[in-house]
Amino acid sequence: MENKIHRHKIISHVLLVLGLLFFLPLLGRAEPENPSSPEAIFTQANAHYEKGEYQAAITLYRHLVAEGYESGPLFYNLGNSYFKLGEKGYAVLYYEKARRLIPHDADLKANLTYALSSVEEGSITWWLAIKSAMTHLAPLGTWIAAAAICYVFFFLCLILKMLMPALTTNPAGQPKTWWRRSLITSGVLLLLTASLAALTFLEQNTPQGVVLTAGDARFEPVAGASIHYHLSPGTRLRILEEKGGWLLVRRLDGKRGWVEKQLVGEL
Amino acid sequence: MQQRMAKILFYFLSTLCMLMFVTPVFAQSAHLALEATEIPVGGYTEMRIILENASAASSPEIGEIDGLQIRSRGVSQQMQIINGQVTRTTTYNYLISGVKPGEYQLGPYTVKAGRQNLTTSALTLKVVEQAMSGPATSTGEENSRPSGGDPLDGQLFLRLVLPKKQFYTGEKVRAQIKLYVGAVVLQSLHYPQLNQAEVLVEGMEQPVKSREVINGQPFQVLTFSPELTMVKTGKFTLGPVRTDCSILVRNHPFSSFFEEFFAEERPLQVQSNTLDLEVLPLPSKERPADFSGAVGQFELEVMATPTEVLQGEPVTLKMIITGQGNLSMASAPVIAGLEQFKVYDPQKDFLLTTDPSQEKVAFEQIVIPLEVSTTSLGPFTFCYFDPVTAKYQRITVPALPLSVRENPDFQKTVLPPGGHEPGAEFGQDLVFIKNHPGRLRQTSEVFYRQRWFWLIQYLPFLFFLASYAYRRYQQKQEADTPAARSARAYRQASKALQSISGRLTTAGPSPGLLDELNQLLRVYLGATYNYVAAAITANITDELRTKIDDQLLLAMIKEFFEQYDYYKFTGATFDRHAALKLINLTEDILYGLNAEQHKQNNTGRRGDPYGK
Repeated sequence: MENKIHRHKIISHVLLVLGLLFFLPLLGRAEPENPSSPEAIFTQANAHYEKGEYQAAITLYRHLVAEGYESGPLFYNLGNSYFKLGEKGYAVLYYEKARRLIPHDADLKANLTYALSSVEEGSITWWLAIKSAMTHLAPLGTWIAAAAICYVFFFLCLILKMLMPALTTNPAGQPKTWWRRSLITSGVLLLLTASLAALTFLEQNTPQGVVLTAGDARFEPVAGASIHYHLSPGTRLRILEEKGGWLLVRRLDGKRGWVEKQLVGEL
Repeated sequence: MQQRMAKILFYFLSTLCMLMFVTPVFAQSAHLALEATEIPVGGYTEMRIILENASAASSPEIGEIDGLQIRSRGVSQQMQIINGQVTRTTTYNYLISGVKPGEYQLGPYTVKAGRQNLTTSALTLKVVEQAMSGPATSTGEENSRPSGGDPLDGQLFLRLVLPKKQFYTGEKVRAQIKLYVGAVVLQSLHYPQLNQAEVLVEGMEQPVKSREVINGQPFQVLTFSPELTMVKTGKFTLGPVRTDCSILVRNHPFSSFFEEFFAEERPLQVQSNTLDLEVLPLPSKERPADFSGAVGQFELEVMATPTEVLQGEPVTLKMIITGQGNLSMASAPVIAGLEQFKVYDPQKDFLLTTDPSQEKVAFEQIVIPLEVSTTSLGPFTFCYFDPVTAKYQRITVPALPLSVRENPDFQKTVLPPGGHEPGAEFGQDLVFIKNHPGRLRQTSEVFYRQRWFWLIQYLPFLFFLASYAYRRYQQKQEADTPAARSARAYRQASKALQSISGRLTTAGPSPGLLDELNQLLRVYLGATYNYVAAAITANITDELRTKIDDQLLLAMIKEFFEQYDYYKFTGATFDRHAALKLINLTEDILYGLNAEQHKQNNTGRRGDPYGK
């Protein structure tokens, strides 16, 4: 009888511990959100935006950026806030940053198109258009993850061949079709994803910028030099060289010129 | 002498390099100029083909024209540096003589300059029967008042020319303001001024230079071609156009070479003739409701990207209007059937055209399909007023095909049956901010910036290397080489010995056990040293001496076979103790022989265990 009671006690204790383990995450969720957490700051910034306090929203969003945080919605909201303040250059800058993380976001596409609608950038050269399309197919992380999966799968096929030859080869000693197809497919996909990852990485590490304040591109890095073309806020540029306080830039239509560094925000 | 030559070569190459670096910055162009556009039969005029910043590989092909005689007068070159900008001009000169009366088109001529072909415009030369009697008159030209007076005496005058006298409100026309410069030296010139409330003047750019002969006197003509837009209706007098300039007046009887040093600069204002014009209002009776406000002659082109979208995804429409006329007041083309779309305001953008008489405007508009059933977008209609036919015209571009797929994440705004939300208007604005921060993380926390991620990428490769090494080992073991056979035999013998040992423990010694041990060792020796197992006896040790260095091992083998013969053939009792002793001996022999094999393999005797 005593044994029975003792057994019941043990079972009830085990159930209590299990129950606590099960409900612990829920209890954690019920706790109030830490007001200094990045998510809370993001929510506060959104509240400012909704009230039309765009400058306050920008301060909070930028606080997160200064803390080293990044996400597509963060840059997108920052772009929206700047646009509402009439800072088209900054808006395009942050939309472009967001585009690297959420390239397929329909809202982002619409807002970026809207922000660029009155920006004179010239006709984009065809190779830049192709390159831009390829490097914005997916975020860099997606390509790296995809390449890593293909890489593991490729080596898995090779390891299988080494360890289980009977499974991967037919009696005549030829590799089985399924194994050959798997190897070729994973190899091709590895090559493709790795190439796209490399291309996207190189693109993102090529110095690029956006014109923040209207200015002129000149033939020489001197204040009084002849003006080559005018740059309106939001114009996207490639930065080719830096000299003193000047940047040698190339517009999307291939036109080059020297611009004062302070006019350009780097991506 | 050599030093001087080197110096000259250095300067020459430096200049060449400078020109090479400077010239590509400026555009290459070719122009055609006529000294006079009208000559009498038997008269002459000069034609020039001017190349700017280009050097032709060969002279332009002029060809022969029936009614004209054309002779080359050589090539001249000029280089001008203004504010550090270098302009190189190459001029091909031709003398043209009129043979028969008529109108002749000269050009366009193509000149090959470097990799590109430069083409000039075309000009018309009129050859008349009689000698010209006075300044040429143009359509719409009246009240011509060559100004300047004494001492210019008709040597400097301005002329305003329009192609017609009657216009419509909003109509755009290119005027010509011609400054005729005769036997005076023009020192400076300001842009002509035409300030009138009835017209809007745009595009007063650099004048085009040409030459004309009036009453036998050559004039240099500077032609300004501004665009005039008629903004008020009614009759009015256009002009005069005024321009401020200064000329040099010679006060000293020196030759013309010193003229510039001793001449006096005299400012003056030149004014043109006036023109009586009438501007009519656009007909209001038949004005269509969708009239865009454009006046002229136009074409419409429409593009949509993408044409395959998910429900709720934006489609960008690009509507390009090209033509001659005024598009500054034009609104976007009307798009029919937009009930199933969310529509943003169009963005208007003026585009550059290669032909300065053409206007080009692009309207970019974003529309978002709300229904999956949508299959097309449009049609598109653009209505404008054509001043030539004096009628409203309409261009219609058929609907573009559009494929809309269902989007499970799309939440459609429910609109009342009438269409738009009450009080709300269509317009363009930003799409609202995101409520969720997404994967908000520190830049350094991204997985591909972590060292562990790149370190684990080595694992598949290392696993592969290990499996490759294992496979090689397996293959070696399975191969038909002496070493492989020896290894296999050792494994089999060890296994069999374990089995015998186990049976001895459980069932005790048996006569069969002795034979099994003998068989086991003979098989091993046969496989390892390539003997016939059945023929192996105690004498084998004599033969093995050449192959095994270890004398103790040879003695042990000999002892085994002697023990076997003893128990087998003398009838001695093969008890547990004897069996155990023989098993241990066999085990020692197997172990020793295997070690000897390894030793021989490692010291280069591998593959030659038979001593052959």
